[in-house]
Parts: sequence; C-alpha cells; structure tokens
Amino acid sequence: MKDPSRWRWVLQETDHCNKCGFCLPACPTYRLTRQELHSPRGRIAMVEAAVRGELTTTAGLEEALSYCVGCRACELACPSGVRYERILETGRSLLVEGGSTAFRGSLAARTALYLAPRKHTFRSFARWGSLARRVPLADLVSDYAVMLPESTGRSQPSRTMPRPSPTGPRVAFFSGCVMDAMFAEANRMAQQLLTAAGYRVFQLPSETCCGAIHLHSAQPAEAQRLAKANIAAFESEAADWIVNTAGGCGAMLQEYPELFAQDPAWKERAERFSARVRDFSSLLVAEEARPLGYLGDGSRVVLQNSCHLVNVQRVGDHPVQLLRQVTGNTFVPYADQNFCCGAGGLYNINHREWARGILDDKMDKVAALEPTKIIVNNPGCHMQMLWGVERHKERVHAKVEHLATYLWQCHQNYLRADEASASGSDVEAEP
Amino acid sequence: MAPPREMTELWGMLSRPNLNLRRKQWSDSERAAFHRALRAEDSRLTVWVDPDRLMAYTYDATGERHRPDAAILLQDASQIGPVLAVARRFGCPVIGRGAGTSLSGGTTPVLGGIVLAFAQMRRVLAIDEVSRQAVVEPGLVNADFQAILAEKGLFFAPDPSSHRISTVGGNTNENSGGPHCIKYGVTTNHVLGGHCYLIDGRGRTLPTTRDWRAGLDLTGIIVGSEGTLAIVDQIEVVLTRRPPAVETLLAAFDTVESAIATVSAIIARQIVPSTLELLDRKSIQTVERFVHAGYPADAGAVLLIEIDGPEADVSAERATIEAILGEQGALSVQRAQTPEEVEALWKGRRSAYGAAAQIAGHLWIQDVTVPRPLLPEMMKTVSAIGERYGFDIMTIAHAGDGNLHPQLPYNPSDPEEVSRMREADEAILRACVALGGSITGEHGIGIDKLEQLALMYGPQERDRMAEIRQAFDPEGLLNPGKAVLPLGYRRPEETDLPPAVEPADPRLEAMREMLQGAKATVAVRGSNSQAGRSPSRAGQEELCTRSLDRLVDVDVPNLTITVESGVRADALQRTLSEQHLAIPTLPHNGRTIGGLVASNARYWGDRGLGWRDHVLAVTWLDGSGKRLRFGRKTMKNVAGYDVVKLAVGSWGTLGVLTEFTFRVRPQPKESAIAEVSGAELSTLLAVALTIRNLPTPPRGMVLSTDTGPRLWIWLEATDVHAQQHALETVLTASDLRAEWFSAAEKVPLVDAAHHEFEQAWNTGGEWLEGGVPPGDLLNDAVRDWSAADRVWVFPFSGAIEWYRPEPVPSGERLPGWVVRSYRTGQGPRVRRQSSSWVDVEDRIRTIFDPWGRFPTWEAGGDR
Repeated sequence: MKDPSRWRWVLQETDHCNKCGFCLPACPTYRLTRQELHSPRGRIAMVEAAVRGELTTTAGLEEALSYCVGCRACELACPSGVRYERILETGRSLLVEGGSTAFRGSLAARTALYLAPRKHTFRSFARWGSLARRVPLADLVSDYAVMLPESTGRSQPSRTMPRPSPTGPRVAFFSGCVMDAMFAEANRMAQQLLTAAGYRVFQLPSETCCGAIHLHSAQPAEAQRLAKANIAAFESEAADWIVNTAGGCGAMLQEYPELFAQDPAWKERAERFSARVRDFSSLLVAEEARPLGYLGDGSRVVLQNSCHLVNVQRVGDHPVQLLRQVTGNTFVPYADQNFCCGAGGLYNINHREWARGILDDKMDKVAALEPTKIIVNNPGCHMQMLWGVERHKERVHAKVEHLATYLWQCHQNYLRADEASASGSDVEAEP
Repeated sequence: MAPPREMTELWGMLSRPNLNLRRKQWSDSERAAFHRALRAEDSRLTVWVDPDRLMAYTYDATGERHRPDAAILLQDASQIGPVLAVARRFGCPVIGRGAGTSLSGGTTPVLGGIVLAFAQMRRVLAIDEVSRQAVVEPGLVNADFQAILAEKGLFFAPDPSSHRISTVGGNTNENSGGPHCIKYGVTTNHVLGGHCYLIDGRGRTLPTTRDWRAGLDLTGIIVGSEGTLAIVDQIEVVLTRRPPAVETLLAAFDTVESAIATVSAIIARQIVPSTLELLDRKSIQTVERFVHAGYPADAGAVLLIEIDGPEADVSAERATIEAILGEQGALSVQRAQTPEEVEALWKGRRSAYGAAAQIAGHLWIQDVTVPRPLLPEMMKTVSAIGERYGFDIMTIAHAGDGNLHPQLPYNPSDPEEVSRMREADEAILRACVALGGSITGEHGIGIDKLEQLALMYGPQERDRMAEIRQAFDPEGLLNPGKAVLPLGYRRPEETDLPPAVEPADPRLEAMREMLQGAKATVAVRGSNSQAGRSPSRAGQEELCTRSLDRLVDVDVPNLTITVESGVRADALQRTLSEQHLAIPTLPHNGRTIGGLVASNARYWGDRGLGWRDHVLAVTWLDGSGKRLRFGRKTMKNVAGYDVVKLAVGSWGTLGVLTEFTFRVRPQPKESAIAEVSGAELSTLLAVALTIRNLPTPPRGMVLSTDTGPRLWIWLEATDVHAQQHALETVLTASDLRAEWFSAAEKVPLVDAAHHEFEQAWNTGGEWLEGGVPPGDLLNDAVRDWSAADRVWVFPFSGAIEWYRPEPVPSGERLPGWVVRSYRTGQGPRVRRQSSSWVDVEDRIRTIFDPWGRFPTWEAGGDR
C-alpha cells in the first residue's frame, strides 16, 4: 500500500458510521456468511484503518472489498446516512494503487467490460450466446449460457404501435448496453408503453455504456470516459427526461456527478444530465402520464426489484405501484422482494459460489410463493433469475419477464378486452 | 523489544487514567505460538489473526475500537471447550460476541484477547409449545426468532430497539430491555436456563429459574453479567402468547411534565400499557426535520401509548386513556386504525436514533433510570447539563420504566469536544444517582461506566461483585474490563474521603453484634414457619427478624413498595389492597416477607417465575455484619451484577435479608375463581395446560388431589366475563364444568388447604417437592405417585408437591423431578440442581459468609 494519507478525505464519511449494525440484516454477504468481515460496517472499519495507516496486511481487506456485491442496501438501512459507496470505492482504489489485482475480475468479466461499450460486437456475441442455450455444450459454457434469454428480442416485429402524442413531454430513451444486446424487446415495449402514456420518445445513436460495471471493477478512468461521452451525447437534446429500463444503469446515470468530484466543469454538466434521468416505471406512475389499463391472465406474480432502483434511485415502490394496477393477476409481495439476488453487475461471473449462495436463498423464498411469473427490472437480475429458475426447476415453474414486457402484454390484453366488450363478445386473455 | 506494530493504539480509544487494567504485551514468538495452538486445537476452526481481518472485530456500537488477538467464528458449541483451554494456557482474555450492537462496549476487546463470534451459531434447538418455552443458540437474531414464533402465535417478550440486529445471546448477557418492559419485564424475566461453559472449559447446565429450583439462582446472576462469568451456548427462554388485541395512540403535550403526569394518571387507574414511549421537544424537532413522521412539530413532548390484552379489556382501557388524555390537556391524540397507521405512529420513535445521528459525526447515547415520578425532574436536569456543557441533547424515554436516553451528538475527531462530552456524561450519571436511580437501565456497564459504578454502589457492594466474578472465573479471563472492576478498585475521591456513615439502627446493631459474637451457627428466622425446612445445624442460635417490621416506602405512582423483612405478608397485603395494588406471590398469610423471599415461596396466584420477578432491590447483613444494598427502586437496572437474584431462595445461607423493594402492579378490578372437579387427575392436568396457553391466561392455577382431583383457576381482569367465557369453552370441550366462586371467599380456603398440606409431614410420612417443564406433566412417567397419595401440582411453573404417608425407604431412588424432601425429625434432604455447580455455590457462600456463620444445606445431608 502506498501512502494512504491522500485518501484521508474519506474519514469524513467513516466518522459518520456509529457501528450501530443496522446495515447487517440488509447485507447479502453478511446474511450469507454471518462474518463481520463481509458486512458493510466491517468493510468501513477496515477501510478506515487502512486510510489511517493502522494496517500491516491487506489480504483480508482485498477479500472483503472484492466480495461486496455493491447492492447498496446498507445505504438505505443506515440511520446516519453514511455514503458507503464512496468508502468502498476509496478502499478499492487504494488497493489498486498499491498494486492489487483483486478487482480485475475473471476472463469472462473482462470480456464483458470490453464488450459493453461496443454495441455491435456485443449484440452479435449475445445472439450467439442465446443459441448456445439450445445446443449441448461443455459444462463451463452452459453454466453461463443458462443466464441468457432464449431470444434477445431484436428480430421480433411489434404487433400494435400506439400513436405518439404531438405535445407530450420529450423523452430521450437510453438503451443501455446489456439491455440493448440481450433484452431489446423489453426496451422496445417500454418505449411503446411510454408512448401510449403520452410521452414523445426518441433515441440517440451516440449513447454508450453507462460505465457502472467499469466503476465497480475499479476502473474509474474508463467509467469517467464513458460518462463524458453520454453527457455530451444528451446535452444538445431538448429532452425533458432521459429514461431507461435498467435499475443499475439508471442509478449510475443519476450518480454521474460523483465521478467528477475533482472537476467542477464536468461536475456541473453531469448534474444537469443526472437531474433528468428517470426509470421508465417512474414516468408511468407520474402525474403527467396518461393512466394505462392492465389486464392479466391469472398469473401469480412476484417481483425481483433492482437493488439500485431501490437503494440508489430510491423509487423501488414505483414498480410495485404498477404491478398493483394489473387486474386479473395476483401480485404476491414478499419481505425480500427488494433484497439482492446476487447478480451484482459482474458479481455472478467473478464470485460465482457466493452469487449462487445468495441466489439459492432467494429461490427458497420465491419457491414458497409458487409464482408463475418473476418480474425483473434490471438485466443483471434478469440473467440471475434465469439462472435461479434453471437451478431450481423442480420447484419453481415461473417465467422470468422484464417489467416492461409484462406491462405491455397486460396493456395489450386490456385493450383487446376493452374492444371486445365494446363489440359485446368475450375474448380470452392471451398468456 | 518494541511491541509489534499491530498492537499499537487505535484512533478513537478513550483514555481512562483511573483504570489500572493491564495485560502483558506478547512478544512476536509468543503470539505465533498462541496462533499455532489455536489452529492445532481444531482443524475446522475458523481463526483469524491477521490485523486487517481483525479490524472487523474491534468495535461495537459504542464508538471505540480495540484490537483482539484473534477472532474465532464458532460453528458449534463443541469448539468452545478447546478454545477456552488455549486461552487459559496463554492467559488470554475471551470475549463472547453476538451481533456487536452493544452500546456500552460490552464486546470490545479492551485488553485484546480472543473474540468468540457466535453469529453463525443461530439455530433454534427446540420449541415446546405446550410448556411455552424454547432453547436457542446465542447467535440467533432476536427478530429472526420472533418471525419463527409469530407463525405459532407466540413471541419472545424482550424486544430491545436493536431487535432486528441484536442476538438472543447478546440480549441475555446484557439483560436487555426495550419498549415493552413496563408490562412484560426485561430479559431476565424470560430466561429459564440453558447451558454454559465456565473458563475451566467444563460445560454446565444452567439451573432453572422456575420456582422449583433447589440451589442459588446462578442463572439469574449470569443473565446480565456481560459475558464476564460464563460463555453461554444455549439459552432456554419463556415464550408468550400474542395478545388478542393491541391499540396504539400518539398524544402530544405542551410539556414533558404534563406527559409524565398523564403516565401517572394512567397507572393510577390500574392500567399498565405495554408501551409508554416519550420524545422531548428537541427529539420531535429532529425527527420531523429528517424523517417527517407527522409528529406535531411544536409539541413539548409526545407520548406513544400501546395497550394490549383481551379485546374487552383493551377497548375499555382505551376509552379510559382517551378520557385521561382529555383531562390532562393533551394537544392532540392520534389513534391508529390499521397496521399501516400503527407503523406510521411508531415511525417517529423508531427513527429518533437515526435522525439524531444525522446531526453530527457520532452520537453518544446515554441510558439512565430514575423512579418514574422523578422523570420530569431528571429530564430538566439533563437539558440544564446540555446547556452547561454546550450540547444539544435530545431525550427519548421509556417513560413507563423511568428509563431515559439522552442523546449527545459530538464529533469524535475533536478531543476537546470528546472530553467535554465525557464530563457532561458523568454529570448526568451523578444526577440520576442523586435521584435514587441507576446509571444504566438496559445498555450495561461495559467499558463505558466501569469507573462510574462507584457513583451508585459503595466499595462493599462493588467488592462483593468483584468476588462473585472470581467465584466463576478466578483468573479474570472472561471479558476483562467489563461490568465490574477487579477487587479493591477505588475512585480517587473514595480514597481521599472518609467512607459515608450510615445512620445507626439499634435493631441492625443488635443483629450485627450477634453475628460477630456468635459461638455457633446462626439460623435466621421470621415467623418460624419453615424451621424444619431450612438448613439447620445442631446447637444453632436463632436470629429473629420480627423487629424489622417497618413499611419504609409506598410509592404508588412508581409502582414500588419498600418494606423490612420482618413485615408479615398479611400486613403488606392489607397496605397493597388499600392502594389497589398487588404482588402476585402474595397472600401467604402469617409468614414474614423475609422468609417468603429467602425460601422463594411458591404461590398459586403467580404465573411467572416467582419472587425473582418482583424483587427490585434488597438489603442484607452478610456473615461478617456488613450491610449490603443491591438494586434500586427502578424498573430497570443493569449496573453491575444482578446480586438481588442471589437473595431470592438463599434460605439464610448468604445473610440476614433486612429490606426489600418490590415491583407491584395494579390490582385488576374483577376476579373470580373456578373450581373444576369430577374428572381424573390426568384429564384435569391436560385441561390446565390448555388453559395455561390461552391468549389471556388466568392469574394462577393449582391442582390438588386432597379431596379428589380438583383444579382451581384464578381469573383477574378489568372485565372478567370474557375470560370466564373462554374458560367455559375449554372446559366444555373436555366435558367439564366449573363452579364459580368469588376470590375473596375461595382464595383463603385454598390457601388454608395448602398450608395444612404443607405441614402434613410433621406427623409422619415424607413430603417431596420439585418440578418439570410444564408440558412434561402430561408424561405418565413423571406422575409416579399412587392414587392414595396427596399431590399438589402448579401448572404454570410445573412444580409438584407430593406427600407420602410412608417415607421413601432409604434404599429407594427418589423420582428425578424431586429437589427437596422433608420428614419428621430429620433435616431437609436436598438434591442440587446440578452437582457441577457445587464449587461455584460454595465460593459464593464464602463471599457473603466468610466465617461460616450460617447453616448450609450440607448439614441436612444431600442424597
């Protein structure tokens, strides 16, 4: 470790931690291990000691910081408002500067980091990956292949397009890298929902990856580069909102100013950008939106809410509000629906055993609810839940669906039923 | 050689110049040998020794950091013994740790040592729904336990505000409180026993706390001992039925005084709410600034009131409370109608800590108790202290218990502010002691108040506590530097000043003289009713307590009463009745209070754990004539060890008990006695256990075979009809009928019958007593008495009393449940709860009776 004194500013954050322990039950790795080392408060104590120069070894610190999923549920649980993310990233940077390679990730993770900003390559990669689900492959590859959707949804034509409103709020749609490469269908349906709700939606070809996975892999410089590209791309556009369908990306976009603490000019530009970022579900429940009808088909629905939507964007109740608006389905809320599934960006690639441990615990709880649909709102969680359903296929018989896909189908059902009742005939809802 | 770098001081340690606790620094090679020895003990053992990993075990919620030498993550109890062996070999301290949420430093390794982390040992080992008890491992999180119990309609009454994080093990070792203590008591009132290891590495079963215990209440003293006496690895706890109805109200007031006046008025109307939480003006403002809980921002105080119980009682009590709130001029009253509204009313209280924590870097949370009526005065003093030392103190209080938590925001990086904070802190402690309170109600002494324990207890009491510590752990390796300081510690002002002189009391002087000049064993006697049952020795002198007949203090708003030990039960009962108060372990007409407590006398009208639940403070003369006073007239007190527990059931072996303070409760308005007969004993027992587990259990029950099997059920409530109805339903289901009597008429008859039964052995035969977990009463093997024998069974505690016309032949084994037996012309025969405690009990007796003045059980002969 080099001289840690240049990180002393972070002590303002650590001093706010009273070690009360309210973060413990919120932390997926503490719940998994019951080790203080793998709790937010333990990591804070270790980073504090490192910055104060009280540590003579760092292997444990590396382990602790690399196994943090980064769900940030501790920040929501913290009564003192400690900004854990800052402490975590400081600790990681401090170790990288000292020569640590703990955060570089596995080959698969590094591949993902490489692909994310390269949209076209990523799309083809994802298509080939999806095909891999259907062919027998070596265990190693199939282990990851189960996490991919059966179709990336890029080729499907849409059935009904709502007519755009000429006067609604202007919404720039941020596709994201993984969402775009693997779950393009959900993006398209979110756009249709927003259009139906009265928003004027448009896309920018010049957007790139949000940089979240780079930041969390201790590559802050690359994250900054991507952030600048996005800020610049959306700056000229007169968009009222910048909207996306991935809780994790949305959180990163909202926190761009954090990346430029040392750069006031860019910080200001980032603030203007971030102030406009919203999750699509927030726009659908907003007062300015036209309310849409949703009709289900008798499904039992559970939600796997995106951690960063809940803990960073702090709008986790918006998806819940929407799910409650669907008539004809049973939405089954449960205590852990906001609790991390173990996906954590690249966590389920880098720390597969732990990701599986967190996932299995989650699936135990989900299985007891006997859902037929598991709704997600973040691509990492989407892949993780696909893995979970595959691992527990004997007892969980549920389809994993993005919230946008689900809502759009329910909205279509509603429109059909509405037409049918207008014409007096009885139509079955389409599953 | 310089100390290894890893042992250098950590930032944030407070200097405590008066403490003289030191530990020899290890050399690098000693440290390495220690690490090797730990690893050699058990290859499965997770042992951490590297400095960075150990940082995660340097702290708890107190705000200080101290380095351990090793952290061990226990997977099961079999690993404890070997670790303790290594600790002893290397003279290394051992600190048990649950979730590390202590607010007094209880789990910080202030002298280094091994942290035994229990977080992974979190199984529920057994739940007995009939006996309503469970055995759990210490690492079980309180809230996780509650979730499991909720499915069965049960709960574990202790629920400290940290219950979502803190563990049952931590709650037990700290004797935690919480917002529901006013009605349900603290943790020690819900611990039945369990299992522990002493530092010698031997596992021992904790003696039961039920009223059929034979030896000293060692469990009672281990609970709340902050891990300094034993490493507890299993805890047996009482489970409580969820109340059928709960109501939540939030009332706002102009001033703290009017809020507390309301509390007193509620209690004066015979209502004991389950929660009475108070927030002062500054707390309300802080909560509203950060959390927007919807509390009236301009109020001087708010009171969160919860009542629970049977539906009829709860709605009647709510109406009464609403009327009182009107009379007392509450500014506003909100009543929750839905679970969401209940949550909303609690939100402000629950977030009071968090909101305060946002004001400054750190938050210092104080914890003191005073007699409830003195709460306004104490709160005024606290805000004056805040002004004097320049702190914006926010106070929240468990108003029902007189327990307040002033919160001081401070900056840990500013040494001047830290030292000013410590001064303000001590000023608060001095103020609460001056009002007769305790320096800690529920957070513990820890490292934080070690020196301040001297503000509350004199050198005599503190030295006795230090000796009790030695009786369990002679080398002082279990959590050193916590709870009590080693023998002989004196604060500077104590060595400078002459000791305080207590006013001479000729009655006590006479007793002291007798103790000091006695030529033979001294047996303590009250009404002399237990003469043949007490330990005795040939040629003993008798010390009579009947001169100690004063009623010292009746504090109705505080719900306490202080009496001398020679006062007769009927006299005390009369005083209580006049004030519409009760102690559930009375009547017992004719006997002295001292005799009842010393013999832990069972009473069928008590459904709890007997006298130990009701004695808050005790004064006694020990064998060398020293006057000791433990406990205070406060509902909560965790300062030092709970020595009061040792007095209950001490049978004159530890000293002459001279004075008690009891926690009393309002006498419910209505009562009735049901008598059920005409069925087999086993049928009545089964029905009694069903009744025992009704959501609203009766006040007491007893079953006798004296005149054919007969069960008496004592109901008490604001409105007793609903209970009578519930009872009839249960009885009808078993084809039984109740005959109803008034309590005034029937209780004396039942008491007289029992009294007569208790004396039966004086004219021949043998009288045996003991008990089992109540559910085991249904086990045929337990009921090995014959139809001709006389038996009394107490379904709430599981106690059994059995009179055999023919004594048990000397070769015959006694039933396993028997703990004591009596027969004419012989001393009592006692079976120890567990022979493994003999050494500790003997050492404790020696502390209080160094010259062997008092008779012991051995004189009567074990068998």
